[in-house]
Order: sequence, then structure tokens, then C-alpha cells
Amino acid sequence: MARSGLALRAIVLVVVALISGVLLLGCGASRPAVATAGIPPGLLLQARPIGRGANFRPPATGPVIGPCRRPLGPRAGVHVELFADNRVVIVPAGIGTRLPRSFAVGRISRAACYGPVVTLEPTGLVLVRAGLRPLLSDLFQAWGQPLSARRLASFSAPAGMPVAVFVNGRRWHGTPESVPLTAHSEIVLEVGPHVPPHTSYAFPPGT
Amino acid sequence: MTTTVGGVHAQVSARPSRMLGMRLRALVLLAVAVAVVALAPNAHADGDPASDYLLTQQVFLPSDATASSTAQRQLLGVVQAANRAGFAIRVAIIPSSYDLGSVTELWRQPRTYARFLSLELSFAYTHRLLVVMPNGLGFNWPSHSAVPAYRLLAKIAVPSSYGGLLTAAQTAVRRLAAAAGISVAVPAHLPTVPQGNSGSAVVIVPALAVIAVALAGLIVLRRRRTRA
Repeated sequence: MARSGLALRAIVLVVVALISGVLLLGCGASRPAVATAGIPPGLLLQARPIGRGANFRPPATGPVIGPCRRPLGPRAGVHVELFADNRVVIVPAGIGTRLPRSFAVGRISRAACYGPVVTLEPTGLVLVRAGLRPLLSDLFQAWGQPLSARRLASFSAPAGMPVAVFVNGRRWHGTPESVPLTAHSEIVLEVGPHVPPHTSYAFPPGT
Repeated sequence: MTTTVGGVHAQVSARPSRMLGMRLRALVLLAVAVAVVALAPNAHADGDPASDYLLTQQVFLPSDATASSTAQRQLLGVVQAANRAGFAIRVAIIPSSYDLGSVTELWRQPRTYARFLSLELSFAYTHRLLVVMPNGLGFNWPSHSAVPAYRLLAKIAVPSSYGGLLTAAQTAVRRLAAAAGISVAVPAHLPTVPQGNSGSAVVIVPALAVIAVALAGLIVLRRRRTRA
């Protein structure tokens, strides 16, 4: 009986040790050498996969809000990230631009004209016409996707868990629609489980 | 557990053992549940532009790149030809920290960034990934050793200019493909817009392994209890 109990305990200890080891690997401490060695744990904590399916890639279907001009003209960059159900939602290229559009290496190289708020690449980099102070609601309207305390593009907020907004890493306490698209802001919108938000973004020169 | 005594005695001595078994089982199940929940969000990442592009594109070029450059089109052509020949590879050209978005701490760390990028893409792409920064090359191929690739890549000079990065990338792709027995030439007709590939999904192998071990442990527990 004693030997049997010891054997059982040994098995459980091995299982628990294995699980603990895998948990540590998942936290970035020492994943398989080819996977995460050297990657700062903080980066891994902010890590989420890009979601699968059309809901996670809502296309740009909205109208151009405001005057549509050509050329693009001077712009200020704002970075917008969306998370839903613990997954990344892609902000598409083409928001605020009018057809026909030309693509080169995944980004829009030319459109018929450009509105005040546009995206030319699928990275969340939003380009705002210089001198304007649009709001996040303008971006979503041009995107053709809903935004409110209860809705974030294709996703509805669970009961008691409204859409969470972070600007430069700080919680925004107003409505999501009222967030100003200020130059070089890092805006993170979340519905579902909390994702530690990025606090900054390296904007390309000229934005 | 005593088997030679009467029923009452046997019942009394069996109870602590059953309780111990239940506790052990609960402990294992709890640990498995925690492992599954904790593993899911940590397996991948986002925040840098290259990952968004390389989901659908074979090459990531910096935001100020123009597709009309001959060197760029040559690189696009070589990568496209390699993939068509069955040598699956995607390439990220990172000439400045601006091309890392929210993960600028990985600037000038091509090897680490290659691993990070592989993690980001691992839901959609699980093949070779080449990162080119001004201070060197990074390579990753999930579940494969990068040592043989780095032996090849060590012989490639990486000039810090943008054109130098493109040339180094092209050379690297061709040499890596050659080492795998695939000859890739610069196509005579250069592409203007590359086509992306969708890869297969990834199974979270470690989590499944842990679950399998835990289940095996439970089965052994149950068998031993039955025998006893």
C-alpha cells in the first residue's frame, strides 16, 4: 500500500512539474530554444494571435468622411490596435480612400482620392490630414464598422464588460467614440479578456 | 489499504486513500486547466507591422519602400520563385527601428526578432522566416534547428544600406534554398505585386503533451486504486 501511494505521488509530482515547466515556458522564461529564447518576457505578455475568420478581418466598407483629395498630403500618424476574444482584429488598408486603388507589396500605393482619416496598410497605422482633430468615431465610420461601449467592429461586449480603451497605455474613461486621434497616439481597444496594452509605437518618419 | 480484514475495517482504512486519490485527481485537473488557459494567450503576439504583412505577403518591406525599385523587385521575384519551387520562406526587411512598431526593443536583434515574428505568425505560417537588419540576418523555422542555416548565413555580408539589405536577403534566400537542393535564379520577368500564401494552422504541441501526460497519470491512478 505504501509503495502504491508513493508511486501515485511520484506520478502526480511528475505531472505537476511538467505542467509548471510548460507554464514557465509559456511565460517566456525558457521556451524551446528555437521559439522564445531571448525574447523579453514583457513582449510575450502582450502577445496575442491574430484571430481567425472574417470577424477578425473586417473590410473597409465605409464612406469617405469629409473632403476626398488627391494627393494624400501631409499626415500625422496614430496607431490603433483592436483585441477581441483575446485575439488581434486587423485594421485593414483602404479606410477613407476611394476606388480605384492600387496595391504594392501589401499596401495601397494609389487611390482615386484620400479622406481626412485613412489607412494605407493593414497595420493599424492611421494617417490623419494635418491640421484636423478627428475622433475615433470618424475612423470607425469611414471603416464601416460600429463602435460604442457595447460594440467593437464585429464584436459585442459581454454583459458587464464594456469595450475598454487605452490611450498611450492609460485607461480612457470617456466613451470609445470620443477618443481624439491625436498625432502619435497609441490607442488600444479591447473587448473580452484584458490584454496589457502597448504604450507607444515607433511612427515612420513623415507621419 | 488492508485486504485481509473484515469489511468495516477495510472501509475505514480505504476512506483516506480514496480522499487522497480524489485530491490528487483534482490537483492534476486543476493544473491542466491552468496550463491550458495560461498557454493560449502567450503563444503568439502582435504589435509590429511585419507580422500583419507577412500573414498574406511573402516579403515585408519598410513603409517608405516603393515597389518599383529594381532591387526590391528582384528580391520579390527570388522569394516568389523559391516558394513556387517548394522552398517555403518569408522575408522581413527591417532597415530601421520604425519598422518594428511597438517592439523596438528588438531593434538590431535579428535573431531574436526572427523567433518573435515566427511566434506571431505561427497561427498562419510555420515555415522558414528570414529577417534582415543592418547588423545581420536572423532565421527561424519552428521545430527545426537554426544552426545549419546560420552556418550558411554567417558567410553573407550585410551592408547597412537599404540596397545592401535587399541584396543580402536575396543571396540568403538563394543559398538557403540551394542547401535544400533547390536552385533559385533571379526571374527574367520581375513581379510588380507579390502573392501571399496561407499556411497551415499550428497545434499547441506542449499543451497537448501535458494533457496527455496528465490523462495518463489519471488512468494509472485509477488502475492502482482498482487493483488495491
